[in-house]
Amino acid sequence: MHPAPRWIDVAREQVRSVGLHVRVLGLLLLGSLALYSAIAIRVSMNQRAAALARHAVTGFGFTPQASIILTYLALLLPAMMWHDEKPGKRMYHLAMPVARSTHALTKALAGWFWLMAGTALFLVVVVIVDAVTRHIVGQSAPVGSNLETWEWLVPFTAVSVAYVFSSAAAIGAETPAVWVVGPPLLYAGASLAVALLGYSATAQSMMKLFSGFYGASAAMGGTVEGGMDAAGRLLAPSVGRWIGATVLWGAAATTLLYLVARRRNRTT
Amino acid sequence: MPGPLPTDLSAGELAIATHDLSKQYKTVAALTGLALQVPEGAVYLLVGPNGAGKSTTIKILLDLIEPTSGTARVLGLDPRAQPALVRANVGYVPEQLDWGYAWMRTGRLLEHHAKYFPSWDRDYAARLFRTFDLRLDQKLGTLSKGQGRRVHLAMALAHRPPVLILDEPTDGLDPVMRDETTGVLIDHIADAPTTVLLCTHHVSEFDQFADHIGVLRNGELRAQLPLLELRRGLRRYRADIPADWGGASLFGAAALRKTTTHRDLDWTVWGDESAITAELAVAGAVVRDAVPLSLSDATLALLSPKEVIVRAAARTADDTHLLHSTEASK
Repeated sequence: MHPAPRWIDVAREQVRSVGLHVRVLGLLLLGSLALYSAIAIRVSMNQRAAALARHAVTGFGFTPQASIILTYLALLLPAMMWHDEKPGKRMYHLAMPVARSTHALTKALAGWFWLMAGTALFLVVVVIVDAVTRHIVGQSAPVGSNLETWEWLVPFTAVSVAYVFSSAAAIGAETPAVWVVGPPLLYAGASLAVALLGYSATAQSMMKLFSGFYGASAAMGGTVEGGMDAAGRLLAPSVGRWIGATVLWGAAATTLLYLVARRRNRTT
Repeated sequence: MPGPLPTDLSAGELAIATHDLSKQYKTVAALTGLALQVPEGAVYLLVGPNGAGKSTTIKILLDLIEPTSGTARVLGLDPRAQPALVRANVGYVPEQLDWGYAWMRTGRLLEHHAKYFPSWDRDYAARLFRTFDLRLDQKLGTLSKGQGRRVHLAMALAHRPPVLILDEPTDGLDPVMRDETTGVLIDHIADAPTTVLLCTHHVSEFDQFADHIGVLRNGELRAQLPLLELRRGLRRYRADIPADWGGASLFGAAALRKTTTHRDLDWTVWGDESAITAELAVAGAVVRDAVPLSLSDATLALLSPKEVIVRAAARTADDTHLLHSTEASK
């Protein structure tokens, strides 16, 4: 009797095949980063040439919120990975010698691996461009000196949460439109509902989902939109809020993904 | 009277076995109490009209869908408990070619597939690709139905599984490639002991190497037996009958529509040849010959939409009329 494949072999192969599948997205990211670097360096050189170096502020810098670009990428990636394998057309994937849920989760993990690689690349490029532009304009402050150490991890966790939610939709939904336009529609619908409900208690509760203490904003950057302390000062990003929100949203997304991956295909 | 068609093959070791297997889709019963028995090393043809439950049975064996009730075993393994191990030991060609890998090239797909099957034979895979006239640089999304079928066949065979489950393996192939495919299958089985469960509408293509048959209709197994036994037991009897022949209801069948002085009787009957000949003789008919049916004709007879195993025709010099038969075997 032949043995089933080892999980590590399947995972390696999934990393390889998903990498090949989404390489267009990777090239797009590389192209965007190259363009960003070229523009940043060109602008800095112009500033120096115009003897405006004294007024050039912080190069191009980095804030955790800059990773919102990657979050969009994270929402798009599963749609691209699973587009050809909608639940009704997943026979080849399902007939492979790996348990159904393990196989789906392994493929999702392979996509996450590339997403993390893309995020790391994004940060490396941003940091290098920041350092180079600071050097060009003659500033000596170290890169990211205005950031807490934990804030460097925020882009990784933020895109991970978005990716897991999007993967659950991509694995479970039959129509691609559901996961491509679903999340933005959900957000727009919620915002509209809040606007219609005015400042009612229901509206406030709904808004807390996005910008509350453990809302999506906190998971994205440890911040609370419009949040103020007792003295009326704007709340600074907080590691506690970030960890709390990330654990909450991450657990919800992972549970959803697991349930969707376990669900049996109804193909006849 | 002829006996009922056999459905029990449990005497030897079974590679595939189901017990009281049922599948219900809302109000439609796709399978009812199925007891499929595929002996080890057999080439088993599972035949049936569209919607008979063939593909449903296969999908249950591979744990692609869940049965409503009953059990299934493949090489002694429960597909629901050990789906990965079952699929590792089965080479599967699905009826629908739902790849989901339209962007991938065939060469890359082979590499991908090989990683999932530790027993993958690289040289054999390359040889199969050459035999099936396939290129390694073609994108899956651009393959024709026939090409897709051949890629699936190559992938099903190249890891040399102990069990092959082929759902319409020659569908979409041209006559030359059909012939090539059966040749490849014959060579494959000759090389390594393999149990084959084969669903097809093109039974004549597999006449030369199939050795068992199962007939599925409306989700129920109508017959299941070795082909040798089928050829021996299912025969077409041609007999001369007298003008005032009273055997029209023989075998529980028949209402003769037209009578003439000269008659020629044509019955397809399951049962012991000498006993049937004797019965016909007692009824006044003179049996001219009793010939075994080709696999195609036997399948047609068994798949008849009427509940019959006796098919009779009264032929006259100027006209042909069917004798309507009812269940004769029950």
